[in-house]
Order: sequence, then C-alpha cells, then structure tokens
Amino acid sequence: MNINAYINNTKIFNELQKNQLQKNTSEDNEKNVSFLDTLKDKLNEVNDKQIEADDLTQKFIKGEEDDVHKVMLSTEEAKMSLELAVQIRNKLIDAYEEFNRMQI
Amino acid sequence: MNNVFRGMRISSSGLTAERLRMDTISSNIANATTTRGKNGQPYIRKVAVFQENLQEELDKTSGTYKTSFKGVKAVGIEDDASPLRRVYDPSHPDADKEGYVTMPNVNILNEMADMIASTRAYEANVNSMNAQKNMFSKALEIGR
Repeated sequence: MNINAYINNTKIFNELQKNQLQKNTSEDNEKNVSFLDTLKDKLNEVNDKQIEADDLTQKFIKGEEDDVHKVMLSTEEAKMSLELAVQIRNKLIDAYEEFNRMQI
Repeated sequence: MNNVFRGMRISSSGLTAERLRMDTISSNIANATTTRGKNGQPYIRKVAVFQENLQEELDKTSGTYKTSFKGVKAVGIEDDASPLRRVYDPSHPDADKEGYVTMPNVNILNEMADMIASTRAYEANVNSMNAQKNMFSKALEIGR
C-alpha cells in the first residue's frame, strides 16, 4: 500500500516519484522510503523529544540545569510534538475508516 | 521539525539574556556601598552587554549560505566607566585625609528602573513564546 498523504519532506516525495518511474525498469527498491518508515522515524523523533524533556526536568531537579525556561521550553516542545503526532494519527484513522466504509 | 520551534528558542535565548541582566543588576544593588572591590578600588557598576546571534548556515536544498537567527547572546559583563561617587564621611574606615569616601558608581534608582525594564522584557519574551505556541496549536485545529 502506498499512501502519499503524509510526506512533509519534498526530498522523499521526489525520490518516491523517481522510484515510481524506475519501477518498470528495475525492481530494486532499496532507495524506496516507505510510508511506514517515515511514520516510525517521525514517531521516534517525538519520543526523543519526550526523553529530552524528561532528562532536562531530572537535571533541573538535581540542580544541574539552572534555567527554568529551558525546562519549560523543552516540555512544551515535547507536548506540541505529541499533539501534532496525535493529529496525524487522527487523520490516518479517519482515512482508514473512510476506506472501511467504502461500498464494494 | 526543529524549524517549528526556532522562534521559541529565540525567545528562550532572550530569557537567558534577561536573567543575566538581572544577575548584574542584583550584583550592583548588593554592592551599592562596597568600598573594597577589586584591587582596593570601590566596586564598579557592571553592565551586561548583548550581541545579536546570527549563524551562517548551508541550505542543503539550494547549496547557498543563508543567515539564520539564533536570538541573542551575552558578549560579556563590562564595567561602567562613569565616575565614582565621593561622599563625605570621616568616620568611615576607607575615608581619605579630607574625610571623603569613594563610593561605587551605582545609583539605586537607576538599578530599580533597569530591574523593571528587565522584568518587563522577560515577560515580553514569555508572551512571544506563548504566542508562537498558540499559533502552533491553532494550526493543529485546521480541518477539525
């Protein structure tokens, strides 16, 4: 399945198109970035943000970090990333449900 | 993704700068009557100096260099060159032959005004950060 809705990187998009064109001639799909990989990659980034925020909070409690606003910014970044991820998930679920409701 | 948070990071650098300014103001107020500072001189008023923080960055898509904003950074804490105050107080241990004491060039009223400015600037940075956050949240409401 190839859904090309969630691609925020034009480079990937170009490569996908290139691969589509090349598909007829060669079967090697090692450069083909799948949608699932992109999603996993981005989810990992969201997770990294959470870990970073947690790390900074721990450091602040221990007294190693002395800027409160940096801790707040980091937690806020993590929160916003997660909100974005949730919205993307909602859109995916919506699309999936739309397909499920399709009359055959 | 990190470009989304760039504005907030710039605001964060502003917050760090204001904290440093606040530190110097606190130091000035605390040492307003310190007559024995560095090398026997009275305390000299400290001023935090800031610099715009720009960075040349290679744009990978076009191969050209572009300047990106990274907010503000402190260059250093420098001495105020204004003349020291001379106060008549013969009972002071550091008074000279004529009974005058050289006091730091700190004016408490100026420091108080600076403190208000610094606090307000901090608030302004927090507000700008919140505004950016709200814009992001609003963008997530598209299509809801």
